Amino acid sequence: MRRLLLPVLALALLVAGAAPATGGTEAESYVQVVEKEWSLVMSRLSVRAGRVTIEAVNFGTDAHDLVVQSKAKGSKPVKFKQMDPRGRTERTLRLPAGRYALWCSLPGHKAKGMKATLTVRA
Amino acid sequence: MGCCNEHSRAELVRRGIAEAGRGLPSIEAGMPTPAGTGLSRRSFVAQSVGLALAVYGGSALRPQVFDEGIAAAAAANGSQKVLLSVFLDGGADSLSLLFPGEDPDYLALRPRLALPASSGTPFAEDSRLYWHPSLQPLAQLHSEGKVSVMPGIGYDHPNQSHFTSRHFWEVGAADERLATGWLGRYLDRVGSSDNPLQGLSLDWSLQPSLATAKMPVAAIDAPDRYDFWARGVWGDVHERMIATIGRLGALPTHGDPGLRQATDATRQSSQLYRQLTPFRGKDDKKGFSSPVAYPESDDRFPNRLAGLAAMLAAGMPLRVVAMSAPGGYDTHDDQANDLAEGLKLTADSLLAFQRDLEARGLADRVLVHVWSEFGRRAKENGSNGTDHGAAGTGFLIGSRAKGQLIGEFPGLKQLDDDGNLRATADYRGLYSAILEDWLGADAEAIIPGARKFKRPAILK
Amino acid sequence: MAELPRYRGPFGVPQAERLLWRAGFGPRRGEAAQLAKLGLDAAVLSLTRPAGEKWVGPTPRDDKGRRLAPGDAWGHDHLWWLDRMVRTSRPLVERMTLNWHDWFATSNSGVGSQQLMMAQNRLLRRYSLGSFRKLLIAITANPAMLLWLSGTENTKDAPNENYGRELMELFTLGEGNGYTERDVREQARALTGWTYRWKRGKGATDFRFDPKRHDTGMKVIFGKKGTFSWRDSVALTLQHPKHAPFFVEKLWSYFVPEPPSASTRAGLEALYRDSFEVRPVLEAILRHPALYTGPRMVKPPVVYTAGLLRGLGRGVDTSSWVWLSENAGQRLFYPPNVAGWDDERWLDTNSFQGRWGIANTALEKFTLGEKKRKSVKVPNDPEAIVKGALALLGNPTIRPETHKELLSFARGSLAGATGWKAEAYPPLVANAVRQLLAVSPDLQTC
Repeated sequence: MRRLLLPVLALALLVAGAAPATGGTEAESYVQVVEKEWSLVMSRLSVRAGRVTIEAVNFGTDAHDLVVQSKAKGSKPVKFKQMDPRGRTERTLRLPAGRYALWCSLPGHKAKGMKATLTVRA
Repeated sequence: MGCCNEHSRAELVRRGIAEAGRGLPSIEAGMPTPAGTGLSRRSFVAQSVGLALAVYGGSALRPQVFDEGIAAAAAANGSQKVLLSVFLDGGADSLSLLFPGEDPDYLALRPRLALPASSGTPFAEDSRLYWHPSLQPLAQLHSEGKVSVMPGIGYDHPNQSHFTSRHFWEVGAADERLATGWLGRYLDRVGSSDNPLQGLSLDWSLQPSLATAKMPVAAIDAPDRYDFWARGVWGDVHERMIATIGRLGALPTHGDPGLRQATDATRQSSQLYRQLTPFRGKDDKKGFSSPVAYPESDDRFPNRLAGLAAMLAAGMPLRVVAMSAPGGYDTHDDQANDLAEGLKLTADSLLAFQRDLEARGLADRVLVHVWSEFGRRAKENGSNGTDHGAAGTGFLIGSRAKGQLIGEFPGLKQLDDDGNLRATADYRGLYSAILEDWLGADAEAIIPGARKFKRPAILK
Repeated sequence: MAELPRYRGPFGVPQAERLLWRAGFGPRRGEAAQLAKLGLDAAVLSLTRPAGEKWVGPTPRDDKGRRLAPGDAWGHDHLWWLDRMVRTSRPLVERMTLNWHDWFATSNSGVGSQQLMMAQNRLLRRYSLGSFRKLLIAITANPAMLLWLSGTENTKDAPNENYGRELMELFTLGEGNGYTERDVREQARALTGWTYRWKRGKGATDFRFDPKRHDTGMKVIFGKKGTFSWRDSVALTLQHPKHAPFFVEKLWSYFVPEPPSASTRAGLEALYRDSFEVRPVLEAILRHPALYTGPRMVKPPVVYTAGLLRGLGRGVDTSSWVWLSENAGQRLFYPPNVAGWDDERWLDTNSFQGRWGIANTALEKFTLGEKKRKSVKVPNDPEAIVKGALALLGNPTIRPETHKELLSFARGSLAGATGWKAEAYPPLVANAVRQLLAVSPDLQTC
């Protein structure tokens, strides 16, 4: 019995650890952030940790952009390109588990409500 | 073509960004977003004028409205003044366009690249300068009083990044975040919501200087979108295939409305194909005729100018037109030949265009502005080329151009701290003058801080 | 009352093809012949009472090879649905879902949430062949619709007539057909009470009917008096004598281009009235002679696209379909306005190039003569080339004159193709024949 178990376990470990660092076979999650005056609406509130493609789409009549920053200490914000109305932009980031602040960095936009929190689960 | 690798690769990315609606590639850090990025892009065949266009911006009007808008604008057009903007992409070397052939500093700074004075026509307004041999056609026009030269045009705190400096020129301000072109803002003030020809980019995508906030503008639709390109079909098989589209469109429909709708569309499309030739490659027969001969070239530039003249003659309601000149001007390596080739085709074509307008009686309505994002360093580099500089050379060409120097040649004795030529004219002053004197618009409302900039005299 | 007419002509491959194009997205290879063998009645029932779904074909991917995330990635909504149209073994279910999307045209431009649009799409599919009454109730309460037609902005203190008007004008009665402006106002009052909670980051959520926001007063709708609420609004429009005629004519128009005769109309109304079940009406329409003997209809762009892919045996493997379909005038989940798409204007010179692009993209995987790709050798034989093109596209029925033009093109191109051309031209000609066939008026219509 024991001898059978070992190879199966080894195989399982082999499969589990097999995800390569390069893109394509690694699990990827997506979230869309719809930006309007004056809100950010995400297509989901949480995604799985790993490669996350965040797509911002501008459904408003003003220009908007997106900044994503982990709420962990010392993290750096990631800024997306500004979009004109009906524009969109996306970035694929490698995000560890945690909570992330999202907001539009144009003057006054965050204060008027263009902000949200994305949860990245392990 | 003598472009630095970074420029040509990034140029592809930049074009990708500017071509809205086709999906966005990953962005390079540090580049300002080109004006017009994110504008909606819709295909539209302008029936009335037989052109396939990509319309950018404007509200979500149905294409039929544009046809009516163009027709109405054409009817009201009359003697609308037109500005053509021609961009030399890469930072054209001002010290070669008009070179101080006998200046010992020039010969010292450019031991290998210096052009001999004997090779160029002397510049009538400043005896120190000579025209680049390839610019002989412009020298000719200058002798007719039709070229205003700006031998040192730029701005304070020059930026030597292609995309940043180009962006500043396109948006008419030293503002990386400004998202509308200076000509786009002009159209937002005076344009109409249903005439996308008011701002026409003679290119497959929108020239950022035309990017508007409200009004629709257009670019010539890419050829693979309206010349019935089919993968794996070329040559006379392709021609015959096109003819067969017409034949399928002529088959009887026996009163079947669905079949008729499809057959009519097929037939009209094949008819339009014949009319849509102005902006395709040289091999295709032109759907219009020109009173003058244009240079033969694989590059589309001469053909586009010829087509533009024909469009104006046909009364199409254009106000501002933008295009890029042939050639690459980012001449870091082996500058001499690349510059000569590009300038020659550009100048030959612009001369033909001027003669074309004169023959058609349109010359008083069109002004051409030739510009580049910066000039190049006074001292040559170690690869027979030059690196990014500051002040550059520009031209205003046309029968109504004043024909006099705007600013002056800065000379090589007082280079700036970076060893670059100093600007003796500010491009924003030039834009303000163009807006006020040529286009009759309020420059203060279009160019940020317009009040600060001296207006050169640009017209006769 | 006379029975509804039933098509009694031959039910062969051409008829089966038309049925599959009108009631679905065209045949896969061999599917028309299989359907023809069933005979008209069984064929219709196989569409209206299909067996369980059996997806046929590879899972869809976008340009980057990624799996689709229709609620979270721009364009993936369109691709996801196009894929369903390509792979479904229940084409009428999917086609009716598309028809309902046009009937209750809701655009994400006014909703701002692909997730909510997907939920509406599931709703339309759930009721695709069932009860119109249940569908109408569900769509009135549907979050995407509530946002799109201002249902949640309609309160007793500030009535908003948007949904109340379109409910009658577009969804159940027809413009000005049996209702007055007063009815619009009273309907709006009856429909008050819908609300949602706004949660930061999530947007509008927890859509519900709140009695406290509802106008409980007496209303007069179509001359009837009562303290009507939203369910009554729905019931009143369904019971309106002009509803059944409106319904059958509109449903008919998705399948047959010319309006029904008076007796057919009466027969269909009789089937529908009181039960509000869609399936019996559909079965009568799909058996009707007008569908088989009448003139053609232009295929809507996504139907044309899905049909090409079904015929070619190719799956959804590129994001190009999104902008190609937009060029052709039909971006799913973004109808131009609440009146839906206009099928009188599917094909003009603007959209023709869109269709050309769709055909070219569909065929690109099969291009002949490319060095990088191993492909069959093309004989220097015009008949074989035309035959091969027809076979590739699933042997669609075409007019003899179209066949003649394709043959004439192939002959003309190959005549005098000597020397190097003898080797080089056949694949070019074959590629061109396929493209011409795919965009021919024959294949643009059904």
